Amino acid sequence: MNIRIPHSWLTEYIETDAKPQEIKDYLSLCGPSVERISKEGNEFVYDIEITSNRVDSASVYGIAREAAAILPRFGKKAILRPLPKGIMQNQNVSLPLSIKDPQKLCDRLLAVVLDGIVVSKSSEKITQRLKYSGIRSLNNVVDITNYIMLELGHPCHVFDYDRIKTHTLILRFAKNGETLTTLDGKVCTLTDVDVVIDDGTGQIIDLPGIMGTENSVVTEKTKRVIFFIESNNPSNIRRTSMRLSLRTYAATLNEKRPDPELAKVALEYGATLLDKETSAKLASTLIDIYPHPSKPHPINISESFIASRLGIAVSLKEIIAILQSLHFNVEVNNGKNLTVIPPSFRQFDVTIPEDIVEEVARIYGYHNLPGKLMEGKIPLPEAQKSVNFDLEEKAKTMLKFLGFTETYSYSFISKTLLEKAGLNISDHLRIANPLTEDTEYMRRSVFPSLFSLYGKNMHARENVSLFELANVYTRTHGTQLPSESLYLTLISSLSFRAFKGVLSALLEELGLSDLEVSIRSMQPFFHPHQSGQFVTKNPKENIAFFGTIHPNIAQSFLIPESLQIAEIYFETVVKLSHPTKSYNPIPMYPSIVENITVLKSGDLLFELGSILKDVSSIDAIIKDVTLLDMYNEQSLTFQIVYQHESKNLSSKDVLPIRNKIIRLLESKYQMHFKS
Amino acid sequence: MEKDLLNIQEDTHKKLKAVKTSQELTALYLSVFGKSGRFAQTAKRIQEIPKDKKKTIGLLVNKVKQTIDDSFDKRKKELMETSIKNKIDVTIPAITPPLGHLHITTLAISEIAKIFERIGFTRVRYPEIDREWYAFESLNMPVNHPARDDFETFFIDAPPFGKLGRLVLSPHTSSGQVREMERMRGIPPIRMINIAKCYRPNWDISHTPMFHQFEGLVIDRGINVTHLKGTFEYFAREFFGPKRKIRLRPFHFQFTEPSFEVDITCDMCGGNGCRLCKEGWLELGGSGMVHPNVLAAGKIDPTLYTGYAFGWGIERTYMMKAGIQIDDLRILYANDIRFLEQF
Repeated sequence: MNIRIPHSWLTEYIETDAKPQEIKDYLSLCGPSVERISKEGNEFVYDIEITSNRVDSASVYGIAREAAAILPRFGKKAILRPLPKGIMQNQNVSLPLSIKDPQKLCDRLLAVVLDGIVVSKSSEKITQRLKYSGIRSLNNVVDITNYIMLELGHPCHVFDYDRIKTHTLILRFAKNGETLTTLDGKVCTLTDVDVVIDDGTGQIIDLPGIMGTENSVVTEKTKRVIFFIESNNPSNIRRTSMRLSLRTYAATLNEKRPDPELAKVALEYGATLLDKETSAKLASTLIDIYPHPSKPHPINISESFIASRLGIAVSLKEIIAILQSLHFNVEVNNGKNLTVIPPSFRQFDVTIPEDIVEEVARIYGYHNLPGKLMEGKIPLPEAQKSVNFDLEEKAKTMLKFLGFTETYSYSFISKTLLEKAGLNISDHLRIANPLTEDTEYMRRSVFPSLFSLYGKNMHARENVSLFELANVYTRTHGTQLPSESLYLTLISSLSFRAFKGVLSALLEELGLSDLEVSIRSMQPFFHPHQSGQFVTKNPKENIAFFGTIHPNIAQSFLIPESLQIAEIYFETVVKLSHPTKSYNPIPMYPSIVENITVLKSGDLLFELGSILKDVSSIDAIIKDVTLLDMYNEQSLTFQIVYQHESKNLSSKDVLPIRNKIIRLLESKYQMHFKS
Repeated sequence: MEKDLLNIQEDTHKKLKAVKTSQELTALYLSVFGKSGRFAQTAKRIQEIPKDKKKTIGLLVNKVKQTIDDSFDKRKKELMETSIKNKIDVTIPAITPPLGHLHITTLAISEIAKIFERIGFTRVRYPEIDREWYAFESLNMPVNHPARDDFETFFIDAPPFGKLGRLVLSPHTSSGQVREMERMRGIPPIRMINIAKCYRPNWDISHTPMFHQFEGLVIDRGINVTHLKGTFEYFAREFFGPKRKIRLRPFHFQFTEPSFEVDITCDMCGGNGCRLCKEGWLELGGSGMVHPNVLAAGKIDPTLYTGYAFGWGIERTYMMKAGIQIDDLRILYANDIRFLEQF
């Protein structure tokens, strides 16, 4: 949380020669962070961040206390003035008041009745200070409660005594479905984990620690009040205030557990202020239910422990001085061991020796510590299985240079998108508390995201090629974690052949050179007759599916039916990759290269892959066979490379092989040789 | 034979005129003067010439050779002069190979990972969907800790599992801390850098429900605050350049004690204060000395070993580099090609 404190209010508690800018810089280095100073009229206002463990500093007095320990370290004078002492005089009248906490929902409950209130506007000084701190002035009674909260850091509350006919406050859990109306008119429905105050008749008269209710709050007509301070259970406060969206200043303090000792100081001081500002007089005995008074635990620590954590030695004398400046009680045993007792306002925050180290270190100043790199052994752990960051980077970089652009889309998928992609919703991990419909499920495929992104981007650019390397998430049975698998998913406006080329080049460069393409994949998202699969030969493992998008999917996402898509299973790539190249001697004898053009007859179905494979295996001197050209899918030109390992080839050597090739093409594939 | 020689000469002259490149010129030269070229073959026939005519024919052979040679030289020069005059407008638009783009997050991750790898950190990856025990309990965040609220962490709709609790989308890379200690079987030294996707239910101008963090964890004998500070100084120098300064501010995290917020001087205003920063400083992220309870959760004896840890946002850190000011963080994951193409 952030608090705002006017400089003039702060200096009421600390006498210092430090300028506002210095206070900002020095406090930030050693204590609470002063994020900004703003000049408002003649006033400097500090905007200070309070961490959740330091509710003790979330007030004017708390900051003054920190400043008193910190500023002298920078050569500035800083003398803390004592807390205001309230005077609780014995009263003559004693109005009835009963407070009950049968379930022990609060650590401490304090209350007193005040009579003779005159409700009016607050003084100019109070109104101004509240305004600088970000709180609107309402009337002198309510303003006092806020003023005390800002100055001391403990929330407090006033009830109209006469509006609570029973003069009884009972703390209890709400019933499920019970409602209350807050003082600003909001109706809240409660559950049985919310703590409320009941007036003994079943009627709720307060949401303690968070906000008052309409039926008990002070009005213009109020004459008598119950001034009430309680130490709440911090997690109850947080849970209720978050769920009901009642993030009041009081709730943000109470959920951090302010010091119960401070509660009494605040009550006495508050009563005095109410007397001064509203003419209220005490009209009951002071009720203080405090069954287990807090008792900070002593912590044992040595000089060497502190040195080992800080990396430098701080003298015992300095350690003691620092801790004392923070109101810790320090005892020295055997000359170097310390027993430290934190003050009550730090009892929940400082509990172990490391906490003491932090206190010494911050006041000593992190800026006074040197910086150095580790000197110990460099750990060389085994790499994690199935993870290869270098290979990931290589794949991404290569795709970039092949014209693909990387996307990062959310791991979530919406019900709408799942339905659009024709996926089964129940297969997907569901988020119990999604932020929006878009974050309801965890995706099992990156395709739906890429289909959407293609559609979004295709109007901006003529050709789009995208890829994403991301985990997909699958349910597992039993108690195992869901499986997370790394998929490299691609979508492109390239032609089938060009896209297949990208994939082949990529996979080869990733260390998978000897891949086979098998023809039919009945994968969802893929065109059933225009898709295939990259498979390793031995062992046979599926590396990727690729091919044209399924026309139904293309239609559903309003993207072109000619799009090429692929899904590469990166963990399998990592597992089977052999990135180290092997050396083969450079051929000693030149090769003979020739082109053979054949004409396909009729509509006979054939697969180029098997033709090339058949031709290659005719003779050992055939080193390479490629499809050089294809015209109208009728005329095919193959390029054949002949090479012998131990002699120069002549046309006499090549001719019989060439005839074998032609015979094969003519007999097995019914093609006509074009001479 | 005389006739043949003269024919060769004439023929070569004609062909030379048609020659347009130096490759063609070489080919023609070889077809005339090569081992099996026309001239060589014809000149061989001098053996068959009667003795009395041999001298005349011999002279003719030489003369024809000389003449053809000369014309080759001449043509060579002409070709050279023509090609040297050939112009290309170098301002003509280039035909570029297709070039794609890496996402800015990838660029940031690879740059950050390399900086830490240079000083002995091992990069790892841990589950994005993890159990509450790894995400919270083992990090000293008990059941009622605010970070475990529904509005701070995404939970998976699945039954909890014993002490490991419910499934969560890891809200920070810190969930990998105890996993790394377990992987190392509780035996330091550990120097881990864990970079991963994280998730939190926030979606506004400065938050996306998915983001990335990099988590450093160092555990060994004698690790202290000066090592943490030295590492950040090294990182800041490598990543941001030598002009930027860092500072540690006291802060609070459950899994470190002492805890710090690390700030770096703002690049926009040079540390004087501007709209982007808090009075000259930008928050890099949190860090601290590993809490003894966390070491114990990872089966490491906190009386023998100490450590430090930090977990910073990749996106946030990269935005603090000079030159990249993105007003609305959501654009990072909207994947508009006009944004992606800029990196």
